[in-house]
Amino acid sequence: MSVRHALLALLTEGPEYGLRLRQEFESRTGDVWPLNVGQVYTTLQRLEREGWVESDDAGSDGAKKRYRITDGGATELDRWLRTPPDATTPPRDELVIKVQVAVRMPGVDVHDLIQTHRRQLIEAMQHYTHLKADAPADDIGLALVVDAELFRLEGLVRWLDAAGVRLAKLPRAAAPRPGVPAPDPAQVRA
Amino acid sequence: MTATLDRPVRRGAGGGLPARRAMVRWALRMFRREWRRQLLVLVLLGVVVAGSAFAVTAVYQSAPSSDARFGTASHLLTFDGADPARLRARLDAVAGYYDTVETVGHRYVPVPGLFDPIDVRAQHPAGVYSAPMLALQRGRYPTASGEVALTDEVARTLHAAVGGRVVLDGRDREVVGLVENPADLDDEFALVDAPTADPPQSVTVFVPGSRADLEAFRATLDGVVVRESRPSESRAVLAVLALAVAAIGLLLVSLVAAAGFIVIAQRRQRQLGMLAAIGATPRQLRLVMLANGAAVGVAAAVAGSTVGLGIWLALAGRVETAAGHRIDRFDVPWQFVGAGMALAVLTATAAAWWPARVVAHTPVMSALSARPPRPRPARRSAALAVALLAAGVVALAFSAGGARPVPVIGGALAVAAGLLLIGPLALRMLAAGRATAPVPVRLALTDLVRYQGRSAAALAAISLTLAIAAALVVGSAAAERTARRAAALGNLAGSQLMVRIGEPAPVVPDHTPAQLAAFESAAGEIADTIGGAALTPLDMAVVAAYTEPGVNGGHPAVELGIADDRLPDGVLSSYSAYVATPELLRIYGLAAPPAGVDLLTTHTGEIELVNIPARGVYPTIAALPNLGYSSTPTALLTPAVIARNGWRPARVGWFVQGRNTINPDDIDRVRAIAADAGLTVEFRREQASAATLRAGATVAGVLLALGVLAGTVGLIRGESVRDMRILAASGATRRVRRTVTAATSGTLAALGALLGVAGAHLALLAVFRTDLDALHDIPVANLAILLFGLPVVATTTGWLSAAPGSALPARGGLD
Amino acid sequence: MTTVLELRKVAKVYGSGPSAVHALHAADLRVDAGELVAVMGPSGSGKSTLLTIAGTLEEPSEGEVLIGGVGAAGLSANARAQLRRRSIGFVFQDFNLLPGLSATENVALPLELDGVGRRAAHAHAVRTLDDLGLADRAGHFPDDLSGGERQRVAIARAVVGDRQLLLADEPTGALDSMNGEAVMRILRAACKRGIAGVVVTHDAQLASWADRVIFIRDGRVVDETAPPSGPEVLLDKDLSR
Repeated sequence: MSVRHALLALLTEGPEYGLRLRQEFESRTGDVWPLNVGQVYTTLQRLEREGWVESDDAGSDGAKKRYRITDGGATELDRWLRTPPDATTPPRDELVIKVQVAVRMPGVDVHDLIQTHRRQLIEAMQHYTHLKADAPADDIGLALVVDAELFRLEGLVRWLDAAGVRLAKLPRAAAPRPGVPAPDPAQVRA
Repeated sequence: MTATLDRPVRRGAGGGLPARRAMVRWALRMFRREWRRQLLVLVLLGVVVAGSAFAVTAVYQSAPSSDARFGTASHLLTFDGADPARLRARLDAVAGYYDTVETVGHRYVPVPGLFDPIDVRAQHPAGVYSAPMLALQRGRYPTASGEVALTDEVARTLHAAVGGRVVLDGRDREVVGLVENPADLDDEFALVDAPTADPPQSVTVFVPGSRADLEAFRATLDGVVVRESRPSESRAVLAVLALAVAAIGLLLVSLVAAAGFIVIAQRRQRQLGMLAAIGATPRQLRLVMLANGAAVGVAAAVAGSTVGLGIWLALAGRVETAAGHRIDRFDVPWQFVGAGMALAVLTATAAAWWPARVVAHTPVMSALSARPPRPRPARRSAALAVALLAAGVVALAFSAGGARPVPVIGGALAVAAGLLLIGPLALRMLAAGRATAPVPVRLALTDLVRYQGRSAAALAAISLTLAIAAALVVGSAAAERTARRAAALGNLAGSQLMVRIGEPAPVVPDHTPAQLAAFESAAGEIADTIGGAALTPLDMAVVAAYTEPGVNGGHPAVELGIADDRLPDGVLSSYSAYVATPELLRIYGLAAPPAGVDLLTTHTGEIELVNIPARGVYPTIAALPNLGYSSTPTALLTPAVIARNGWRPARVGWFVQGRNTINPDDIDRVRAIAADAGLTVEFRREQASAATLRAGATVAGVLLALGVLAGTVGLIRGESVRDMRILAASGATRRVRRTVTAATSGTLAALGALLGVAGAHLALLAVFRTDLDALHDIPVANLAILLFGLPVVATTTGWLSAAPGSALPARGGLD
Repeated sequence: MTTVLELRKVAKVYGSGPSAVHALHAADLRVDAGELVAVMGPSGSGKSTLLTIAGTLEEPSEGEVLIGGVGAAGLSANARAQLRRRSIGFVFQDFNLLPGLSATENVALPLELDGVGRRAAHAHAVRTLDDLGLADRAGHFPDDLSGGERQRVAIARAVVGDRQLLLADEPTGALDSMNGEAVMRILRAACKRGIAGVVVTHDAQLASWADRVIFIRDGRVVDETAPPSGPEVLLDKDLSR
């Protein structure tokens, strides 16, 4: 999530004080993506430097300044909206690495580990779902963000499910090691 | 939810009336939504109900009614009018005893050229009791002594018309109207004005009241009183019989219905499972299926009766012609039509009983997942089937050649029930051999076993239908053979005639020599008409000493009585006996009767002479060559026995032997001569062959079986649309799919035909066990059609009907 | 909170001999009034068997089932049917509603089966539909309802009367995610009013609506989520990244 572009988007609705911008941002994303107090103002300063926003006066306190989007800023926002997210290089997923490591380590029950992660992921999902359930029905912004998190977490749960099934097919002693080619399934079964 | 509910205090396991109402409501809604899926059952039931409504009404209306003779009275008294004083006294006695009586005077008036005299009735047109016996067709009723009204036949005989004049009973009268007896259109008479009529020869008195009442009155009179009571109503009995036939049809249809209901139950399996999950008790689930069955029954009963009665209204006129009496087409015997409808509802509900039971006992989870129920072991039903078949065969074997009704009905029912139950076993045996069959055939056989509930019911319906058809075909052939052996060559040869004076009867009326001469000359004229035929007089021996009471008088003719083990003890079959005149003996190639012989006859057994005052007269017998015809004399009494007993020969007719077969034109001419002279003539009757019956039975059996088959195959294949789709998806050609359908219907047809024909044969073998020759002339062609034709037609139809479209996805079966 | 459903060491074996299938091994489960519990596991893990045994649709091979504190063992078919229409509501994945009956009539059916007169049962059904926001669908027939609406009517039927236990087997399985969410909202709302709910699913999103998630694998209960926790705990784990 780009905080810069989110702030630019908020400013398309009209000029706004820095403090209100922060409150607005937080209310729209719920407390899923909480921001540091200074983060909003730092970002606003950078936007101003690049000429994408301009402020009323040159007061030092970002919270009391009133910001307005420039034409350059509107162009940049439009360009960003249409640019596809970076999908080619996958992020290094910590969960995947943990399971990979556990498979190699002797004395670690990888299925137990998978279940532990699954439980934690579900607990996290429960939290988000309850958040969504208790929120007023017209809070679209929250729902969108929560859904995104839920789908992401669900993806991880499903990956754990698939990993569990794959690992269950292998005898525990013959767990693959990096660099060693995986044994032929037919031989394993024999 | 938390809101409180007023539940009934009684907390039984069931929900009482509200629950039942809810279940029935759902069943009826589903019937309204999906009645088209039960169309086969609806149509079959409806056809049977329509047939029964029509048949019951037609039989009821066409049966002769005793109203023709009794009007609305209960009893008839007949007084002789020879002694007017005595008649007057008796009529006064009747009038004194009963409050309301009606009298009709009769004079029997001979008319030249007519054998029977014309009944001249002095009857009041608006008689208290006789009103239903009289109706005016044209003109008016006679109101004066010079007037008369005639029935159509009498008018024709007398060449009279309304407005013309006729001479009757020595009086010249004006014909003022045409009348009829609406309850018997064959009742011919002349009607005269009662108050001015001549003194009657006899008087019929109509009286009401009970029989005991009548006997009490009779005790007050001296001498013979001829009295007659209204017979019990035969048309009700006939209507009940028609209803019984309809019940058999309904039974057959109920088998198909049961199969259809099983399909419905399987289609609704998940919904019923859902109901059970909601908390419906097994009894409530059963109610759903029973309500559906009853709804089908009601719909079929209403539609069928409407159609049946519509056909009746359209055809009532023809029934009237055939029945010989006027019919009020709107006088429908509602009690019998209603009984037929009730029977249909009952049958349909009963057919739903088994599926309902299965539904109620299916585990909820099996129902929810729509798993077909596991086929029940067939062994128990097979044992029962064999036991029933054996019992039925034994019962039929002891039916004395089919003459005793109880073992015949019981045995036939047991064999039918056995046939019904053996279906599952037969299906399994057939399917056991499927391993070597090609895949499509194997698939079809597997489905037949898998959906055993409906395929066994269909098999039962097919085999029972064919069993009835086969029994008719073979049985009629056997009966015909027996009859033909008895009658050998038929009644007469084509070149022969029997000319009789009057009707053949055990009483021979007296005739004056002039009358006899007239008869003889007419017989001679007949013999001339057919070209120089030989005329042989026929005499019977009559008991001259005894005069039969009755209108025409006459003397009883001596007859043979032969004991018959098919008749109750003491009852004899009687056969006519003729006098062994030399001319008659010549026909048999005999010169003179052998000495010391009383009787020459083709009959065997213990022969007694009957219809005579003496009892236990056993004649000495010699064999008579059998001419092979049933109407030529089969028993000749020798002059010796006649003389010894004081009997007297009386002329009863002539045997006419022509040179060639008599042609139809001559037959018409002979008939005209005979009618004018008051003679009756018997010609060669074409053998009333049962071939038409057999062809009809074959066609009807095949058609009904095909109908049942089409329904079943449709049901089974309709249910396996999904399998077909999988087959198609896995690359099966249209040919494979056709083979599956063809194999299904062909197998059912072949198995049904085999079981049906075998069952029918088994039953007939038992019936004719003492007389197996009768079964020799089996109509092979008809049986072959049943045995091979039906499966071939079924297979072909199955092949053709598995059109490409039938593999397309139908609406999911279980939504 | 009162315990509505309790399974004690429940085992279920299908078939016998070498072909016997052990669907459940000594499974324990307690569900309190007002609680929504999800039972999560892959297909074939025995979770559906758990549900059908809890709902008295099947008898356990071993162990005890208590509904409202009353043992269900040894009850006659009629008594079980009565228990179901008084205390237990079912929602299945599909084919929930009887065709030919309107939404109101479907919802009123358990009451009518229990002997409540038609008028009273219908009034109650309409009220229940209204409570679940389905008042405008009351007169519709299942054919005229969308998949989501059908499931919501099914839930109304499962809770109508004074039901204590609601059992749902993949209730959103045939629905898209938004319709699924609507169904789960109603389910959760029903539980918040005091009914004990059990949802059986393999779907993590669906399970996350529950107050408690039980994990089942190869017929055994293997794990259970912690009681609901606040968002701060999650933030520390930096799942938001």
